[in-house]
Amino acid sequence: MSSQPAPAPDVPAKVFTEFVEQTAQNAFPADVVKRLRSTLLDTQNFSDEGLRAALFGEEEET
Amino acid sequence: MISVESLTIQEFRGIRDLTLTLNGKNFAVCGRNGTGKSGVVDALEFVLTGNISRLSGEGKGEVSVEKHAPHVDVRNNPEKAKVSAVIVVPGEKLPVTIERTAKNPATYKLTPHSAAAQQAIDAMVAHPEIVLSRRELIRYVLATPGKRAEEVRALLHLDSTNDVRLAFGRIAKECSRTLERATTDFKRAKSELMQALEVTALKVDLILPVVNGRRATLGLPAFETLTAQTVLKDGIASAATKPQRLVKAQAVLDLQAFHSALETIRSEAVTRQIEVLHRELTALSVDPAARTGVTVDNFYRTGLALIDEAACPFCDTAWSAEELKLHVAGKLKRLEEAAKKRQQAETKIRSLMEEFEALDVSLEALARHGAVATPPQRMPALRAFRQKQQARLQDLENIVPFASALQSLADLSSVDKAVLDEIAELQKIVEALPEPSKEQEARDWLTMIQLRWEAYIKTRLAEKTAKERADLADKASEVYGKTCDRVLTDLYCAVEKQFSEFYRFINRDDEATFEAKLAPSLGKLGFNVDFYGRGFFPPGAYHSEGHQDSMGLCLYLALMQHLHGQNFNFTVLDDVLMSVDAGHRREVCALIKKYFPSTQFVMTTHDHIWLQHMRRETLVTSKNTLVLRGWDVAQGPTQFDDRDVWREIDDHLAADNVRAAAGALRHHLEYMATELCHALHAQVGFRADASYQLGELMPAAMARLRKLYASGKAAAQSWNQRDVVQALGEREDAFAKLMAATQVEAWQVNSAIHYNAWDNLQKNDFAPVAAAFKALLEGFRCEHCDEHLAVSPDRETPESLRCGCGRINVNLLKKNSS
Repeated sequence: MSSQPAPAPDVPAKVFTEFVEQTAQNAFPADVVKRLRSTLLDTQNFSDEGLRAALFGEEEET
Repeated sequence: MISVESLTIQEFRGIRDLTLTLNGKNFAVCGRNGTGKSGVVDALEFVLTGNISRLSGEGKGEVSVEKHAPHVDVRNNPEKAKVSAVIVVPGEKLPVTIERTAKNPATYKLTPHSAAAQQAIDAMVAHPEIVLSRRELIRYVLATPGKRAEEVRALLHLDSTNDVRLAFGRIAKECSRTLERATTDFKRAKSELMQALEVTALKVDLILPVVNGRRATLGLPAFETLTAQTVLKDGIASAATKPQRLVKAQAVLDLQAFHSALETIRSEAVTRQIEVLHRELTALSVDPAARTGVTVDNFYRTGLALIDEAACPFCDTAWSAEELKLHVAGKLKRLEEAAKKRQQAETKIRSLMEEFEALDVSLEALARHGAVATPPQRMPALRAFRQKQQARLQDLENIVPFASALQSLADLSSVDKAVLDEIAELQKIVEALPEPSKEQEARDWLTMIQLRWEAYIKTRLAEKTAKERADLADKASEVYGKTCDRVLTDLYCAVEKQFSEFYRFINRDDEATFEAKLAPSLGKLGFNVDFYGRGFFPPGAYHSEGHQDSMGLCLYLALMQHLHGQNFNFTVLDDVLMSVDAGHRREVCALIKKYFPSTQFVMTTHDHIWLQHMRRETLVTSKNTLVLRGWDVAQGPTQFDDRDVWREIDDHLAADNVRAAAGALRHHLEYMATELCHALHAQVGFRADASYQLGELMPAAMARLRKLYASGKAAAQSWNQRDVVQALGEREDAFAKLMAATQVEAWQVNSAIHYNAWDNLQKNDFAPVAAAFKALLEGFRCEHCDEHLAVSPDRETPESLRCGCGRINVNLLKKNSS
């Protein structure tokens, strides 16, 4: 039986969304979870600097 | 995505001027090598994406789209190299024309402008994987797991997921290195503080009595508690004069610590420890098995930890994961003895290093005292010695190469005379300092201890922060890796399932239970396929090249379906099934029709039989076929197209070139006769080399059509369909007249009119011959749809003779045979 093609999935968005959910479930600090969500899903900054700032909040410090 | 209604190519690659009408339907381009098929593929890719894969990317050197897309004769006028396509964007009512020139490949013009079309084109530009050639096909199937993962990630737009994985990994490593440094700094600060306090542990009840004793000397209040914020020298500033820069008491203490550490490393116990270790390392170094074992052990252990897919993690050679683990574990077992010896040596090395690290702490303190002494002591030998000692300790920690470790071990206890001289000089300066009063000593001590306390607090905090960061980064990296693998595993499971279904469909005759495994791990993508129930192996291990080709196609289609979902509307398959046999090609046609009814496929092939299969399976129609019969650099490709060939013959005759006209006619008839024999199931004497001549094919096709008309009449009579009998009789008569005009039936008895003699005819004699054959070929077509008549079904007993539109549908089965 032929399968009906489904709409194209946005795999990266799924990975990032599930990761952020996992960080919350794995007791990551709330501010880190918030920054990771913003970096990965909103601004989509995938650079080392962006992710470092998301984890440790350097941007806020500066 | 989009569908293509028509394509116009001008002065592009090997094509001078060519327009194809696709009508949004599947389209096939067939021709021998060098007839211009690739030019059509390049033009499609170019107009839709602005790129030509075969002119760009890895290994293309100085070849580029801008320089080499134009036809060679207009290479200096790239604006003349133009491709335009009329496209339909899903959801848009009106078609849009997109046009690009080689002068500015990246820019395109849309007429009329359409935001939806622009969005669709920009999406294709961003991910231009619309063309699957055999080169790409091999990339998916036979690549190493690492390379395959790259290709598939790119195809599925997963690069960002891997970028984040790598970034988290780098951040975790960086944090781990920072933590190591912070821990070293903290240990050092702690050691120096303990040394100054002369306590065995940093406990409040041990520290406060010492500090309060000095404070009492100065009449300062005692501390009852100790916190990180406690200022141990609190109150000194108002009661004290400026302290000496070189604090005699502390310098004396640090000198004592140095001499104590020196004594320790020269002690009999440490000397013996070194001797034992030297013997053990020497034994390991001279035993080839042990030497290799120790060196390789780490390699194997690292590899073992990385095995979780079906390939060697170092060289990507295909393995069954379980077999590879057993293989490496076997090697490690054989190295067990060497590993045991190494572990023993490592334990001794760690113990020895602690003694030498204490020496280094005291040397660092002396260097600081020297810097503030009067006159200042730079102590270059001491500084150089510290660097050498640190390198030696590193050699020891590494163990291999043994030669370096043994040499460093031998040199470890020898302190350069120059170092001892510098320290002796410093000692003289320290001893020459006036003995401070009790109050001065207390003041100096509290000032110094405050500095060490602050350094201790600061490094402790730094280590704590570094540890928190390292833990967070590690955890983020781990959680992300697991999440990514889980999501990708789900995705690849779906692709794997779809791929297996496609492949089973094509090969259901003998691989109906086929399964495949796509296993993502650590940024790689393993791909193993079932081989007739004997286990899972890489596609290139046992399957034939033809099977690998169909696997590549199935994997590409599965990936594209997951990438674009219901928007997978257009793709180009560029000669990708050349190793697949005829039977399985037919199944490929069926696969495409069944699973991709909404996708427009443009397929090229050099194999005429494959084209016939596509037509027979109604994957493409005659109208949606371009058959190329030749190419030259000045004219570009020429087609097996009636209008084209008759115009060419007329042109040759107008130029009085009968030889060329005869050649064109013969060539065209050879092609057409092959098509007709196939369509009508004409009987031709079998030839293993398939090199049939016109004299064998054309009479057979003609005879077969007459026989089919006769069979149709007989069947109609059995059904008492007099009108059908009459209509068929009229068709039969008309066709007989067309045959007679060609004199084909006289070829064998009159060599003067044989097609081999056409070259020798005069222009006025040949023109009627060409006209007769043109009319004859019309006799094989439906006058309504222009399609050739063909027997149906393709393989079994003929049941009907029909055209593409169905207006001609001659029943061949008699009443009593149905």
